[in-house]
Amino acid sequence: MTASAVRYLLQVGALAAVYAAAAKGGLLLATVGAQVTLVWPPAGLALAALLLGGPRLWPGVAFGATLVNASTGVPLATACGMGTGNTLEALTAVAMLRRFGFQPSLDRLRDVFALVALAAGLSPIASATIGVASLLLGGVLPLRNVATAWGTWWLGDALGDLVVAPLLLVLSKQPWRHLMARRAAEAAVLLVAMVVASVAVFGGWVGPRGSYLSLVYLIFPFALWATLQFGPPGAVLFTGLVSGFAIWGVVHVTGPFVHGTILRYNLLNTQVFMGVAAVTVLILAAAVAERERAAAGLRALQSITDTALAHLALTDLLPQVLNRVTTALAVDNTAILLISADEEAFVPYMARGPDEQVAGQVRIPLAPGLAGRIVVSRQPLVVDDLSTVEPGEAVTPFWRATTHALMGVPLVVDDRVIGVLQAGTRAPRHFTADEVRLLQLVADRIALAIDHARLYEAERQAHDEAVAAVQARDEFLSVAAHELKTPLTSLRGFAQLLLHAMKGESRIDAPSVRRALQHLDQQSIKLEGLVTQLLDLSRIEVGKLALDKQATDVTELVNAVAAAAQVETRLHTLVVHAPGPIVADIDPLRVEQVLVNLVNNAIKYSPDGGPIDLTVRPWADGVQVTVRDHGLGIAPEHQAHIFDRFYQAHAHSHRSGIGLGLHISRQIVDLHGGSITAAFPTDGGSYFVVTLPRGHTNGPTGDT
Amino acid sequence: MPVPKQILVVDDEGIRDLMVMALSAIGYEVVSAGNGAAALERLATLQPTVILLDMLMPTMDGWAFAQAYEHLPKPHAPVIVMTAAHDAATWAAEIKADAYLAKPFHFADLYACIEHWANQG
Repeated sequence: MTASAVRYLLQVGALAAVYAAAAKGGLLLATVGAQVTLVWPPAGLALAALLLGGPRLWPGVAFGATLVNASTGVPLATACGMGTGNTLEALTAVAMLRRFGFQPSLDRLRDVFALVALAAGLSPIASATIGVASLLLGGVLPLRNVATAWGTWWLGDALGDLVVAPLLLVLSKQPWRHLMARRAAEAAVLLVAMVVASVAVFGGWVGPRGSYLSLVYLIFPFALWATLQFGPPGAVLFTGLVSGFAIWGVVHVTGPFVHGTILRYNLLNTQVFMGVAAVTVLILAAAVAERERAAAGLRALQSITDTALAHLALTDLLPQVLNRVTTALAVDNTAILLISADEEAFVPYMARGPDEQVAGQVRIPLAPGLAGRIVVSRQPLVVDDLSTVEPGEAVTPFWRATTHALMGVPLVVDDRVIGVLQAGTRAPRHFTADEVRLLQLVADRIALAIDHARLYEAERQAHDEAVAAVQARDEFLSVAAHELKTPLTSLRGFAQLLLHAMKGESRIDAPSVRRALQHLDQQSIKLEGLVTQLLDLSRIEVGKLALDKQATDVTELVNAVAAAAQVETRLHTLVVHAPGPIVADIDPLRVEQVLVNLVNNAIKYSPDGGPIDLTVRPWADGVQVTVRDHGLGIAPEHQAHIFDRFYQAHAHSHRSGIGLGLHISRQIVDLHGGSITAAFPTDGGSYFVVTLPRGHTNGPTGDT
Repeated sequence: MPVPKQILVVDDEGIRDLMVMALSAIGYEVVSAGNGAAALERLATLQPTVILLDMLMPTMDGWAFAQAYEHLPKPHAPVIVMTAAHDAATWAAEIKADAYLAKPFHFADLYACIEHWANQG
């Protein structure tokens, strides 16, 4: 026999024993023959046991009931019939309640109504009818007592369902220990006060026996105290305790319910009172609990809305909101998946829980997942056990690993789904309709805030970009003005110098005149170069930089550029490595401009001199030219920007130039369909690589 | 014949050449340096009457030079900032220069400025 089978048999045996004991106690107060009683706690016991332990425990009820009934001296067949009735009562009650979605914590009005109507109202009909029929058939019950017996049976069982079952159900399910522990002192005082009041009222301490029915009202304040302060646990404790004392009083023929000596009437008084009291406090407790939940939900919602309103930036807003949602719903993981701008994927914008680190770096395909389904259906989705979901269906692979139960709702703004809000737990949990509703309420409130934050961020980014563009332009203009004025200063200075000499205001020798004229010439060339660059820039900006392509020997071009540069410098040694002529269909003047720029940069940024190596080589369908110097190189933070417009990596070291050379070079190379890249070897200097396609080089004239 | 007063010109080659010709024509001796560091080297052995200082120079710019010059033993020559940048006045104030000349300049202004600061005191 397996361990589970042993455990099952033990459970069934224990249930049978407890059932029999409770039934025996009830039968002591039998009022119709020895078998029918107004006090039948085992009905409640059976209901609670089968609700909590499952209907499969029914043999415990059947055994216990049949055993006890047989012990009253009825024929075995009759006892079996009565036992069947008792068992069917519990089974039908459990079946009806389960179908109704009953929750044993009794903190919802619908659960209380279900218990009252289905369990207490309907299910005893089975037991009373079958039981009374069995007694009648067994010849134990005279026909004239059938109606009384049926009524007594029904009421006794109903009271069991209303007093005993709630006590067992609530105390087994509610976190009542925490509740009691938090207010232990108050709970103790309440308990003592309830006992004292019950003994005083039902023990006949106050007034003569049966004289003051109104004394019963003395216990109502305690009903309110227990219910309002302690909710359903307080309510069930109250009814259990008071019910016990009330019956005890009647048995001892004292208390307000005792009028005369007929036990049946006195018990009937008591039970009707207890039935009404039990229903009242259960309803009150459930209503209070519902109100409290609604208020807590509203508070959570309010705090989330406050958070949503308080932050304009997404990076502030989302973590705050998720923190609040995590707390309000008592979940482990929360995530906001926003649909990306291209509407093809989710970006887990922010997640709370074990997957926090993943957020922001992942794109999740929109199509197959649970989140995608939420987007398409625009309906909330609840998954009790994520491991039962197909792998491809999982919300995200990383949630699948850490989440057991999950709910998700769409984030909707202006009829447009912008994403999904999800909450999940590591432990098994069934998200109720209330919780899903709360999550949807949260989603509705934060969706707008998220949308606003996104708009705000987009606007701010656009603004920042515009400001940066204006700033770059201003800086460029100031640099350009400075660079244009520098040659102008020389031009104007030497011109004035010569004028002064011509007017005879100063003397100047012939070599000086020659030098002055040389300066004028050089600075004019420099000025022309700057103006040309500015013109090129404006042509590029309007897309009007045109190429005049012709078949050109790139090796020859590189040799010419190197030779011209070598004339200007003695510090540097320019060496060209080339296999021989390589002809390509390019604009020779524009490519020369690129090469001159690269070589001039190489010279300018290796102020201590040294070798500058140029290579020319065939490369796939094109030709590649490299320029390598051993100078200053480019600081890592500038490397990504050197081809940007107006960018000057060396701006702060005041090496002349307007920051257009590489930008224009790149545009020229791009127009050729080639590429220009820069690398900065670890041993210093820069390494520029220009790759140009060879194009059609059939004829020496080429095409234009 | 009196010893000519010395003017230290700190600027690039073209302007240095111009200043040699322009200022020697009115009787000054021009010594020159290509950047702030070179100028400090010259100041170790020379006592110029006026310093003409460009601001944007490689290796050591006008600001760094002014800072270093402050720490040299006195007396100090008047410093005249020469720059083509539009905030010449601001820059001159920043380094507590005595005057500034915006490039490009007129010879009359250059001569007036030099004569004023060279013959002061």
